[in-house]
Amino acid sequence: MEIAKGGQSYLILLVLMNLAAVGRVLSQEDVSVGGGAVSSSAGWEEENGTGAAPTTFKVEGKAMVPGLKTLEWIGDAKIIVDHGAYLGFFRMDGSFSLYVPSGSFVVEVVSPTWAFEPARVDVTAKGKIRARKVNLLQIQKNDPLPYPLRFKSKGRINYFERREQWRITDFLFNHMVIMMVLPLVLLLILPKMINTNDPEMQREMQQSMNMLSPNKDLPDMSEFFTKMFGGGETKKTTTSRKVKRRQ
Amino acid sequence: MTGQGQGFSLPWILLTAALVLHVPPTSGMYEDQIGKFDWHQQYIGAVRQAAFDQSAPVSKRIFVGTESNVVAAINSRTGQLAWRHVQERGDPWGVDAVLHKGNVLVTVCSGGDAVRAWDPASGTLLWEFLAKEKNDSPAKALLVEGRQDERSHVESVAVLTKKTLRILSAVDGHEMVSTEVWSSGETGGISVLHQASNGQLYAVSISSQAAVQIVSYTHVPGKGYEAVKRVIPAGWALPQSTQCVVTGDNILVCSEASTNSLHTISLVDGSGFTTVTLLSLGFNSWQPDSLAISAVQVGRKEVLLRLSQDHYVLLQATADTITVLKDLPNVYATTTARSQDRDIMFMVKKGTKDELVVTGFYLQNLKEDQALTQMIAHPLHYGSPQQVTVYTFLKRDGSTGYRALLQMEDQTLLMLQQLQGNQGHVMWQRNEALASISAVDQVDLPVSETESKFEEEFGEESEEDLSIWQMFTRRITTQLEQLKDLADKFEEYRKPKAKQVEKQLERDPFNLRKMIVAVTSAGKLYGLDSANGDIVWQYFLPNIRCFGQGEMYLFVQRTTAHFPHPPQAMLVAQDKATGNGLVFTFNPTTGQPVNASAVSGILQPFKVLQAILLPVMNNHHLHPVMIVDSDHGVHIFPPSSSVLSVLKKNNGKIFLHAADLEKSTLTGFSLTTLKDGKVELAQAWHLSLPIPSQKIVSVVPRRANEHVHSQGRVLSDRSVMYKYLNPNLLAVMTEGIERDIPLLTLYLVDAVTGQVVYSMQHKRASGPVHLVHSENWVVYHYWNGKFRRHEVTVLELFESQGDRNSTTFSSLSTQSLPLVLQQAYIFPMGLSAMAVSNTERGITARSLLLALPNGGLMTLPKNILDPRRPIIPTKQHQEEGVYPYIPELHVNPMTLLTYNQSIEGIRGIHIGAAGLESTSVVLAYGLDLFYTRIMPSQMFDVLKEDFDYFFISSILLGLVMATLITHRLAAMKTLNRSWR
Repeated sequence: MEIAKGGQSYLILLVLMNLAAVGRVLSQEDVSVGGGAVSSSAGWEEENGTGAAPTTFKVEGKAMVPGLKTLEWIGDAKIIVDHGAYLGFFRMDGSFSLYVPSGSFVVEVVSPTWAFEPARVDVTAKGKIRARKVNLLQIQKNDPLPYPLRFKSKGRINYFERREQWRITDFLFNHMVIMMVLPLVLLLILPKMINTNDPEMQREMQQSMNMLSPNKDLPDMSEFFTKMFGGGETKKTTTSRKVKRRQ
Repeated sequence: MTGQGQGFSLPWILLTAALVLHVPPTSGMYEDQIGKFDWHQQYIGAVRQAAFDQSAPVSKRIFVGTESNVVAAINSRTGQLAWRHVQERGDPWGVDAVLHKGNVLVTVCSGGDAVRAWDPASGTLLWEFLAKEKNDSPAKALLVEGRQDERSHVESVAVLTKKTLRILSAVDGHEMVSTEVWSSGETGGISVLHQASNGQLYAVSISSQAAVQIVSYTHVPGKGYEAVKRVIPAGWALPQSTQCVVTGDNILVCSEASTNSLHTISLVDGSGFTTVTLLSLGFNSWQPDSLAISAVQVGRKEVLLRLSQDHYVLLQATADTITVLKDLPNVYATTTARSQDRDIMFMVKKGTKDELVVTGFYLQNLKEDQALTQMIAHPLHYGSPQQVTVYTFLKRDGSTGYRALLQMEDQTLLMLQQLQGNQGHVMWQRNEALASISAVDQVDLPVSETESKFEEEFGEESEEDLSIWQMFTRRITTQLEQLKDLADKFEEYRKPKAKQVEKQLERDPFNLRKMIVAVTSAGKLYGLDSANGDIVWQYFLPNIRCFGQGEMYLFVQRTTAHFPHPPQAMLVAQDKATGNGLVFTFNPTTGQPVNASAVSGILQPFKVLQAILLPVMNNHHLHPVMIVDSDHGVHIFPPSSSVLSVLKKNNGKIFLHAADLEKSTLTGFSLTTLKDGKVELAQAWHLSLPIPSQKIVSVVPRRANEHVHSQGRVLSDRSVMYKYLNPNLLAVMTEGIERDIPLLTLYLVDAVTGQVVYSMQHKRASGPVHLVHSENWVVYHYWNGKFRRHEVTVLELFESQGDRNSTTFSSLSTQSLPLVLQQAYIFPMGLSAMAVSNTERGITARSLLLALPNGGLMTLPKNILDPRRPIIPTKQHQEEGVYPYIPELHVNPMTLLTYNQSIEGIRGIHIGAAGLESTSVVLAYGLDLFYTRIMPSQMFDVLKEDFDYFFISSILLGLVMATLITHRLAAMKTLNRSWR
């Protein structure tokens, strides 16, 4: 007895929660539709549970892969309706036919290599057939497709990620490398490129220095430069001396 | 107006912006990883019909139709599949007929509703004929031959179902004739189709009203077919136990198993049956259900009668007599083939020892030809041969050679070739039982020899009663043995060939290699090496079958972790003959039965309602298995005293639940041990679901001993949402119709108290429902009938209020209901199975595995299915790493684990945890087997396989070199400076 009572109280609880749940479902469906207004057009409504004997209608179509003969790709391809509810096989020329009852179906070409866009096929109770693009967000939207169905491959399916390869250019144009190498180049090579012994050059530089710093209030800059270039000279002389000695 | 417009468009702008910024990461595989971790095995299922290719002079193919609704061509030299087409699902008997003659290959499926003609070479469809009769028994079909220019050719295809006879053109499949077999009101039982040598077609049906109806169809050129109907009373005929064949000279022979009698009549002009009892022929059948009759070959006058599994009789029938031509004892299967204008009957016999003998005799003179005999060894794990198909060819020396395709009791296909000296040779074999796995598990491999010695030394068994001296000697001996092992390894390294082959499978350092233990519905048990899918062991239990829902219970009672105890697994299945329970315990790594005296399991005296592995261990680390029988009695295996004492200790702490699918009620029980040591179930709670039209479709508990690493989620304001981690939570999904509206309801029920934690309803939604329950979330996939699309809903449960004792959970002490967050997403496809990844410690992010209808196996990170994904993302969400809500999920081909392979008919996905935290191992099974590894959070604990060792080492080396050179230069410079 006690158990039964407990069960009843749970039942009441359940009903309460069910109401709350229904409220949630509705709001959540609104979200998934994306706020679009949904109006049902009577003529293409799915007719389920009519009770009459199921009559089937023939849905026909053809698929192709540009640049390929039919036999080269249909070996492992097939047609599935509503994700496996019905099945179709390709004929030699890439055509297929399906037998479906009235309703709305998603027809897909399944191939492991080639990608195809699915199509939605609506069949009325009288057997009128139309095809349109699959739009899962707004199912009533009519983007008509030609009927009999024409499937054209969008191209190869890419299953793999490209592996990163180590290239010298990647390394060289890496910003860290550039940051480190450029100053190094400037520091080491630039002084060597400018022939400081050339008196004309020296004059030119002096001039540009003067141009740059006409202000005589900063004597230490020129001092610094003379020191630096002078230092270079002494270095050069020492090496040349060394060479001479060796000779 | 404008303000409103802005208000509406702003979130959308934000959403698109966020979409662009926030592309969920993909973790695809690289092209060079093909086949590195994964393998794929294609199967076709138990073969029902087989025919050797006649379209090409050098025959290489066998066309088969199977019980798994597959039409395929097998290369007869290698056993590989040349092509394969899975037909519409749904029939328990599979493909009705495979008809092959010359260039014509026609298959009949779905009880005669689907007739298809294929190109034998490429397997491309030539034509098809589809009907919608929905018969519940296989159709009979026949290639009708016509004569043109003195050569016979296939003119049409005749298909006889329970209701209609159809004749379809063999050229394009158009319906030439369609007639109702029975006048309205009557229903037909079994039926036979026969074409007489003059081209006349006979359709024989046996009705339930004890009458045999013979309809003859004569082809009248220009007019079509003319039908003549005769009904002959047959008081003996019972549709369940009668079988009929027609011989070459138009004599109908029927066998009736309940009276052990044969009945003959002439199809052309007979007016009454002649009855001959088996006893009057000197035989009797002691196995009435195996009495069967079959025609020997088209055009031959003999018929073959099977008395028992291994006893045949060759008979000759006329309209009023039956004579015995040859008694064939100890014969398992027969077939006929034609060679050099002689019909040869081949038979598979029991040999003198454990061997099979394939031999043949000529039907003309009933003389055996020793040159056609071959012998092969007959391992016990194949069972007895069931069916044989033979293909003959002329050898170079002019004698007849043949190849035989043998189907064994365990559904294995064997291709036999005759070698010299009557020695048989198995060219290839296909283990087709693996197409119907009904229970599977992945077991760790045993540790290597050296490691097991460590265990021996430091394992808990050795701790007791050892003096210091004993322990010291043990230490020294172990070290000496390790030294010897090292020496052995060096030896092996020098001469790698020797021992390697016989070596037992060992666990690898990361425990990635497992033993897949698969139990198939044929009663065959396999142990597969997960590294490559090779069969390590096989075991055959001929007397078992699945329970009503197609399941068997496979439990690993003791894993390999408890050395020196061997691992142990238990299979609970149904006995074929009695329907009672059958228990078989075996070692899952070797396939050997634990109990050497119970090689085919122990038959129990009760019917099994449910079996579960109890979460307690005895002192030998063995988990007991509890079986509840149909009277709610409890049986514990093994019933030893140590197990019972453990149960006594946990008295009242073990709960279990039972779901009554018919009445849609859930009942909770607690396990109590009585004083006299008996174990009983005491009802703890009972829950009947509120809507009576609802049926429970699935009850999914959380995985037992699932590890959850993080207890909560940290939000952007540094507060924590604690997960509601109830280990006893059940997700119960029900399906029903209320006021003509289909309806799905999900209940989250605590299995200990029976409390409904949460429930939610989807109106106008229907199944098939795939549900996954892990940690604190539930994900399910269903069909939304209102919007005609599939949707995935995720529920996540969090603690609703402050702290509580989080280390120990008790269902009895919780009062507050959890906070439930939920969201639904549109999924572009239906599913055939769904599972969730599982790792050793639960640190790795979880990933869902979805089996798609196109044969792909897709991974979907759980964080994409997050109910906290906001419609309007804010900075806080970005900080948390939550993606903005996008209603539609997409199938990215890079997330397909199967890349360009199609795994047909996935029925289940089994996931095991590897020793590496980052990795789970995945087995998808159905018609095919597919095995791979997944790393849901990438490989964070091992160096990636594309780690550039060369680059790193060259840089290191370069740096060392540079250091040395600069050091030298610096030394030179200082020397120079000091000279200056």
